[in-house]
Amino acid sequence: MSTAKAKPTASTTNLERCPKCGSTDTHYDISEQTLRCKTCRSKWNPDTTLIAQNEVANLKGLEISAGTKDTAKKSNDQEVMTLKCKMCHAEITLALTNESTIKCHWCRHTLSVADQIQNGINPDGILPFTLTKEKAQEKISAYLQKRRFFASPKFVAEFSLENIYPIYLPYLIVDANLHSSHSGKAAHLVKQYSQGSDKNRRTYYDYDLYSFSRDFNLTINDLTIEGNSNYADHNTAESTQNVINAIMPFDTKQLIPYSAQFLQGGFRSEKRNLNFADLEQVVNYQFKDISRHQIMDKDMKQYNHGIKFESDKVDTTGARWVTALLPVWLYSYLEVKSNGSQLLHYICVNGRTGETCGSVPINTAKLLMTSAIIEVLALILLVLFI
Amino acid sequence: MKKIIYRWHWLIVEAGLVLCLFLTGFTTLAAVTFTNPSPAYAYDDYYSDDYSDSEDEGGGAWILLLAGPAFYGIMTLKYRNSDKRHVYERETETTITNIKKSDTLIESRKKTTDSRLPGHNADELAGSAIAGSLKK
Repeated sequence: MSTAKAKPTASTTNLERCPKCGSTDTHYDISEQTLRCKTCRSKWNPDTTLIAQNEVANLKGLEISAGTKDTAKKSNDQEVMTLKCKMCHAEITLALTNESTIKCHWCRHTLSVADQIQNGINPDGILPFTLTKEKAQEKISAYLQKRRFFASPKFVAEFSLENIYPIYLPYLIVDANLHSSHSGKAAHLVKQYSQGSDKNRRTYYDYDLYSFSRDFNLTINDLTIEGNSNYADHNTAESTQNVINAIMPFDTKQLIPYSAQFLQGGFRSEKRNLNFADLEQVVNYQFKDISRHQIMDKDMKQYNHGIKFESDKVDTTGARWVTALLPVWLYSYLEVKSNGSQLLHYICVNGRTGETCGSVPINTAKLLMTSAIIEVLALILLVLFI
Repeated sequence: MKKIIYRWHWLIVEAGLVLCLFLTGFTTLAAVTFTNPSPAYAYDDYYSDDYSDSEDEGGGAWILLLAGPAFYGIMTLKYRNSDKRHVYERETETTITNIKKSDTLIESRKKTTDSRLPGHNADELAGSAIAGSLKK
């Protein structure tokens, strides 16, 4: 077995061939974080040059990276294909493969090569998986162990750790150099006390009311936003995407240039369908939220009895948008409830940090019965108390 | 056919249990109202974050009425995690420089019942609600 250092040239990064024998049958090995050739068994390191970026504090104007272009534009990448799931309409990008059965990682419907659609634009960067499947399985096992008693018996019976998929999800990553001004009213609690007899006892508060203003420079590093509307919508009744949002943040400082090599060998990726124009307003609102919370944590702790913001002004001096694929281990389970409604549950593990979050279907009857028993016991205790 | 009967069976069991739970709660509440003519003050005691050292005449015991529903709520959140999200407003890396500030005392308010400054909006998130309404 030989180890060869990858040449950071277009011939290796774009054509996804083994640098030694030229075979395209390569895959990314998570445990060693190297690329391997299945034909000649050689292995080589991927191009891990970090994406070079200027200091956020020096940003001026709007920088939109090549990978953040409108998704309606087509890429020339011939090494990946995108399939549209007929069941859940997810658009899944994977390396060209001879696999006979390709399953949708969201709903596990079997995909057909006949459902191929245009590839989206290539992202700028990627964070390769560093958490192996075995580690992800351990994380999910431990997570479920704590949520077993009230779990739906059907879910427990059908659960299989083999069915977790390594998926790269598309995100937009924003750096910003801002100038913020906030003003309003804020209260500092001086005294809290109770007065009155039993029946009329009330709690009273003495506080000082201030008028405040704060004006400051703010830099934001790697604000990360979902790039696919299917899981950017957290308030849906049909699925539980919020748990995918909850495993953020990723160590996006380690972002390396995207290569289709990382999709070879069973990895999947989701196509981005949200553009700068769709997300600009959301991001501007998030700038405001971040600005408020950061100044409150840093310089307004004395106001412990409430803050009323009356005016917020967040001016963008400079901003930079890039797109990236970030790694997630995903398990999905479709719960069909007794009334016929469906809920898609996800359990996911951050492919870099190992942070785990999930939604487990509940055995409602068992939980209700236990709650009722607890209520009865509480009632007995209450009667004894009085 | 067998499956349909099975589904109806569980619907009835679930409906019965929900009824039991609420009946237990309401019966208890009724019993408490009967023995104590003004239970509303008891709830006030629980919610008012009262730190006074005057004697609390068993007022805290009323919290037991919420034990069943509270257990149900806590377990649902533990299993379903529907409240979890990325706390972008605190977890995103930031730096703040060149702060210019002013704080002017307007008035000292005495003996108010405001447990928070009226109009307190520091916990509101504008970006989170909009992200939730995105639909392509």
